[in-house]
Amino acid sequence: MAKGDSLADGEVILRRFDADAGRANHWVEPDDGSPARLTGAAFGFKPSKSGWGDECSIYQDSELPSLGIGRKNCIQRNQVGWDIATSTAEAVRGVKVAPPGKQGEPNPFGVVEDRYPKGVKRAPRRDGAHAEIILGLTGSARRRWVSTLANTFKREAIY
Amino acid sequence: MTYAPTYNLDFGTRPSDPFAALTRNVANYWGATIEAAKHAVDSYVSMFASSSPSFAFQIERGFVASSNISSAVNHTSKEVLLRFAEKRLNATRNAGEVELTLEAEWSLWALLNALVEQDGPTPQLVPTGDGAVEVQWLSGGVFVSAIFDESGDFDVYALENDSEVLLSEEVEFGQALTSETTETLVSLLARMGKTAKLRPALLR
Repeated sequence: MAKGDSLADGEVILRRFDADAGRANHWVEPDDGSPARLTGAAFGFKPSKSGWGDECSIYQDSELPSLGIGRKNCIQRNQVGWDIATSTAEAVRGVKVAPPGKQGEPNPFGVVEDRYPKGVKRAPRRDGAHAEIILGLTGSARRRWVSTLANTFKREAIY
Repeated sequence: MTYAPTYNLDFGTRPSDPFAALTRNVANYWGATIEAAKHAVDSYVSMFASSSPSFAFQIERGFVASSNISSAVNHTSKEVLLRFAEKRLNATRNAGEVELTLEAEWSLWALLNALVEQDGPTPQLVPTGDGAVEVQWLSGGVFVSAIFDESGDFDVYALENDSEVLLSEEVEFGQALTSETTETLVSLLARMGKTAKLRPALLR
């Protein structure tokens, strides 16, 4: 798979996030005790390197074993108290905000391959599993899309 | 203990001096809400604090419990839920992650005041990541959310089982939710409340 290719629908994708319980702004715990979900604050979309839309870093779960690392290695050493949340490429592409019967905007997300974003030299091993969520939407409407995207990510404790 | 809301979402036409009315309503709302919430919680704390350490523990963390210890049924009052929302909003604001305009704050509390009910799901306030605020309710496979922008406009959205969009509506500042949307939300939140048994957010 080449850089920029879409990930397969079934690919499990990982997003690291600040799980600080004191702030707890990046995740919300459902009242029924089911796994916590991420919030829009956990997704810092930045202008993409390609110049098209914005992007947000994720990792491909299936690539980690071949790199000899686990999910916890997707977290940087200085990110104390951070955790991992998982979703799938299919879930991200399946996000919708319009109810049945109403025509809404098409899903603005892409989930693409982005191994070694800074080049291979001295790259941490996790960069071999790096991928991006691409968002091609601006304006206040993107808040709803990002919130709903975040809701597809469930917290999976790694500590 | 009764709780008397000072206004609801159906506030009719926009007043001629919206800013003055806004300020007054927000002040009235805050005064009534905070006082009612404090009084409700404090009275229950004093009532049960000496009866059982575990009851006092629960109450301090937001539960209002029945007086029958042998068959205790926990209820979470509207006041406690609103107080929790206020606490989360303040924490988020103090962290510098939310910059609420008066209009946005007014819309937020008007919606919460209209939709939060005893034993309903917990309103969880979070930043959107770009300065706005969102309230989320999650329970029983249902996700309900409202995002407030700087103008006081907001949208409400509901999703079930991660796939079925139940509701998506945009509301302008000063306008009421449609009766159909209100009915849908009230019914949905009541259903969610029946699955809201653990409430980990309140215990944190």
